[in-house]
Amino acid sequence: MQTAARLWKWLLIVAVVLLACAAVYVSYELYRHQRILETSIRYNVAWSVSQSVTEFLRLQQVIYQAALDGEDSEASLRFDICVNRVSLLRAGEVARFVSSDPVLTGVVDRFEQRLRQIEPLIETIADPKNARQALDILEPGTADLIRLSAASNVYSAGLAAEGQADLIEMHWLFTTFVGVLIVLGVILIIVLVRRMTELGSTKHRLEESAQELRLALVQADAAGKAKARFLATMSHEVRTPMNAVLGLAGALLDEQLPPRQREVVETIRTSGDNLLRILNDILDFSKLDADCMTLEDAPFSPAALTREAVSLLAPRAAMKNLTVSADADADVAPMLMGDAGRIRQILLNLISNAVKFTEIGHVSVKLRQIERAGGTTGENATIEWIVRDTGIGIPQDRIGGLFGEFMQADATISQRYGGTGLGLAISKRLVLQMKGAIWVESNPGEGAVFRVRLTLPVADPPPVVVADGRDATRQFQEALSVMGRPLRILFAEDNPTNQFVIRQLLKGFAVNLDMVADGTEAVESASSFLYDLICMDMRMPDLDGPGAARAIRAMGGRLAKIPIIAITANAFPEDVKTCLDSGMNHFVAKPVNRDTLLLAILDVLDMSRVNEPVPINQPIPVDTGNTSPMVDPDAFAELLEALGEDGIGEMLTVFVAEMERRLAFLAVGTDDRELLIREIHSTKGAAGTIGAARLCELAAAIELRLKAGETWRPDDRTTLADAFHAYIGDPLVSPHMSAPVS
Amino acid sequence: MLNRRFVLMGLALLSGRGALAALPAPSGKKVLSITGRIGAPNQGTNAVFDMAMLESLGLVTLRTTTPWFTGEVVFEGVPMTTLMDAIGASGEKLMVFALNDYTTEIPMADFAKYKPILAVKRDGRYMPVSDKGPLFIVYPFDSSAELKSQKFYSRSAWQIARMEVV
Repeated sequence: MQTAARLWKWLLIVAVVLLACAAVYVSYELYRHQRILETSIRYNVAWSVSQSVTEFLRLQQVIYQAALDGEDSEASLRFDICVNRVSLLRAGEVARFVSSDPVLTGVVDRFEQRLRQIEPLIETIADPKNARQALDILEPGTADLIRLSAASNVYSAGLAAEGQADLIEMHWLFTTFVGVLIVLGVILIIVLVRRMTELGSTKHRLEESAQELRLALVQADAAGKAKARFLATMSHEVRTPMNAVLGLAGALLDEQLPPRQREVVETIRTSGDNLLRILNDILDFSKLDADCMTLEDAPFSPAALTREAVSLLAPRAAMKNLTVSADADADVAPMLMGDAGRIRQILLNLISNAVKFTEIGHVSVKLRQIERAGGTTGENATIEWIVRDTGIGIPQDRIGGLFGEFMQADATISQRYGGTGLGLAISKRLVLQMKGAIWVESNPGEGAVFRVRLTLPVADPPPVVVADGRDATRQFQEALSVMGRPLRILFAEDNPTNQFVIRQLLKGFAVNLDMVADGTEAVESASSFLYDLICMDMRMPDLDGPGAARAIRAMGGRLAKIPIIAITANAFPEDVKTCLDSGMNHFVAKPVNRDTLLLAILDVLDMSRVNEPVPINQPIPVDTGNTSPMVDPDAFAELLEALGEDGIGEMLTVFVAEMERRLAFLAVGTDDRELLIREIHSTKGAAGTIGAARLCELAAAIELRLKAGETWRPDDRTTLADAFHAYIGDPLVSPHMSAPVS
Repeated sequence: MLNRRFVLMGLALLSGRGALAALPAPSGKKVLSITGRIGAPNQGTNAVFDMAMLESLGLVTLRTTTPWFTGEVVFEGVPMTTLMDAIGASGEKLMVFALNDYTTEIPMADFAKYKPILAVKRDGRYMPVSDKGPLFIVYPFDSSAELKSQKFYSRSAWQIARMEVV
């Protein structure tokens, strides 16, 4: 196909060149011919000679007439005309003919001689004697001239033949040219038709391929989206239970535990942490693989980031008696634009590897600036992190594959040191996505030097506070003591376990925590109570976090500015953006640990300055409820009358069962204020219905107190239980009891 | 080249003059008689010229090669347009008759287009009958390749004695 196409192409070129040559040649021939026609004067020689013969004969005729009649009509004129003919035979084209043959020249010479001989006789030609004498001289010349005429005819015919030959030559030239033209035209048409056919089929094939590609693209796109969705779901589904496990383990560790149990719980937590890290690694890697990784672009301090990363791993290094140092050159740009979280992840990976593979010595992290240059879009800085250790080193033949997937320098390494082996692969991909470079220099036994080089835009240095290693618990407690009252938090979380975890995390602080299970409830509660801040899960049935946040913001007034913290397992940057767009102020990724949560709360409180004293709207009733009788006799009598003996018995049974269940519930205790308030509210209602006046009054008082933000006191249950038992033991009531109370 | 310019100048100067002046009667030997559709006859319905009358119309020079002489020849004569103007010719063509009974037919358009002359002298001398005289219609053959053809050679009549405007 290719060869044929080339052949045709060359054929076409040759054809066109030939055509051009032929055209030039024909043009030249035409020009030459025209020149010939112009220069050669094709005078009709035969005609001229025959005219001479005619005039010669007419002269003889005139003289003959004179000989007969003795009259000279026009002899003189005819003589002159004949003389003229002689000069014509001696000039121009005719002369050329005449001089071509000596015989012909002789004929013309004799013609002239005869005319000269008779010239003296012309004046007196009327004399018949003279006329006869002239005729005698002239007559022999007739045959001479006729011979000349015949020769001129041959000569003219020769000239004509020559012209004809020329014409024939031209004819052939043109015929050849036209033939060549036709052949070339045919070749041209064939080539064009072939090319068009080829183009047509190529176009058709291309269209088919394009259609296939489009289909493949749509399918790939759909597959990619499905994968991304699956990742998001995985992220949520995996992290949520892990969050619960880790949170509860943490809460357990806060309790007083026997040493053996503490050890077990610590193992649970450590293993959980490891598992979560591995899950995060795999998730990151999948995201990078699916091109789902979106890098943030925000200002950060590279020096602070370096120190932070090192300080995070310092405890681990300290446990192995390693020294860790962080050093940033002074000339490094103070602020750069980039994804600080991902850079931290890379550094943490490199530093933790260094710590992991170093038994004796030190790990040092150095940050330096290679170059800082202005570009078209602003200033860029090229910076380099050097993570150096004195560890076991890496064999030369393993360095190449070190950054590959699931790659570890030695299969035995994973047994000795653990890990997914994805850390460096993830780091490499992250660095590449940031258009940077990561490489390593190492020899076995001589430690390793990892370098990460990134070129990032220089950011204006705003006073950005970088997260520091502050003592969250202490700060939180200080903040609460400054406030001088419990912090009122509304927490929207649908998962009961997570609710429990959150309660555990905030246990021990002066916090009034109201827990609701969905967004609608969160919006309702936010509008009915004065909260200091709201924490909201991203995903909830009914109304999700962002939706609820928007609804709360829309209510205006105090709620327009109330701090809202988003809490979610969806750690994608898009989710963060969704949260912030919906009016939330902060973002805490799951698994939530106590420090993260407390720091987030501290941050938003600083932001909204709610630590200023807030006036309390209604006085909280202190301790009422000892005023009503145990049983309201009127109410009980009414009930008895309405229901009858059987009815009241049945009702008392239901009430007792409900109260027993409730008291059991209260004995276990709950931090779900809403639930508690509901339970107390139900107690109040049921007690009022059945005439348990004291119980009703006590429940009402507790409910009021709870709703005002006060805490549930363990003796509240005792109070309620006592009132309940007093009611069923009352002489008015006990006879109607159908079953003994356990 | 120079000659041709001279020819053109002569034409420009003389054109129209013949039409204005009335033709006098010939006093010398008649050399040319023109019959047919003419507006200024001087003898019956004919215009008759002696040599002096022709020369008084104004002579121009024409240098050209011809099939009948070797090399270039210089002719002097009256431009045919001047002659036609002088007799007030109003025909389509001119029939030319020679002493030897040669006859040819020239479209009137030829005269303005190719500017032939009615030559009276060749190389400064009057032409006798024995040498294509006395009158000879000569085209400027060298001015155009078109003129070097049998068609114009046949229109170049010599030994002219009579013309007829038709």
